[in-house]
Amino acid sequence: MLPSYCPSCKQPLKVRKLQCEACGTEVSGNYTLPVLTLLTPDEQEFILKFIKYSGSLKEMAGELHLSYPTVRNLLNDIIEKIKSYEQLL
Amino acid sequence: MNNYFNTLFNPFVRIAGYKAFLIGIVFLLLTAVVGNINQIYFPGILSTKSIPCLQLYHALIFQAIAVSVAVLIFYLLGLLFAKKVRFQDILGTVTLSRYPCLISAALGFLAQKDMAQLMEMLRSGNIAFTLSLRFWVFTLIAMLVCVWSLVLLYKAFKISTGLKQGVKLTWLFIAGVLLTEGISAVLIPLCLGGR
Repeated sequence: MLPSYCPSCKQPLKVRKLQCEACGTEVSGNYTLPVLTLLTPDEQEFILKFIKYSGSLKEMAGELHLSYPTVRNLLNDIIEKIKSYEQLL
Repeated sequence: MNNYFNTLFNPFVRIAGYKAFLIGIVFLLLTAVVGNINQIYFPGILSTKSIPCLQLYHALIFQAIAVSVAVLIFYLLGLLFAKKVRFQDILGTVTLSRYPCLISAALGFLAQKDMAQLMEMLRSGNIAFTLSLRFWVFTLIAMLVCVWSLVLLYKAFKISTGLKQGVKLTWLFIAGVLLTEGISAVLIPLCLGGR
């Protein structure tokens, strides 16, 4: 899993360098991590499933063996979290 | 083991909507029938009463009114104070939250003899009467079942409305319970023709 928070001070990490494994080119800068990487692995997995099921919470509830309101509440929690991250960034 | 515990005390994580409603209805019917046999009735979401000489239709009316009023009240509270609420989720989860009452209904025979003697004592004015240990055991069980049912109702309201744990949810829940009890207390005698 890509770390997104500093293990020392818990602030959001930024990307300084990216490297091409094929030709060795390095790209340096100061890049902000996408908001989605700030979510937990379970939340990212949830979003991927949401997209794969074309946004159908009903189908997701069946797949995850959870009730519809539980799945809807999980989605609402993720939405609130993303909004708060966007405000911070 | 943890899964069974979670299912008993918060089944709504896994089941809600019309499926929960159908299972809840089965429990309500069983509770009414078994309760009628043991003379135990539930005229409200907080009340468990031992009443001799009532009919099965009384038990069904008590359950129907208590649950219907609870569903309507909590749905209204959800509409007013939550972002989104589906009627079928409130309907299913509130109905299913009554399932522990089957335990009180099944154990009602423990209180039957004492209740009959208590009624006789009240009629005759003879107050020399001691309630048996069986009666107190039933009373304790009925109280625990009532608390269990209330916890389930709280979780039903929380999950169906998506409201976060906190002061707002607690006060809305308390208001819902009190309104339900009050309205049920008025409607039940009206439906039974003032009996």
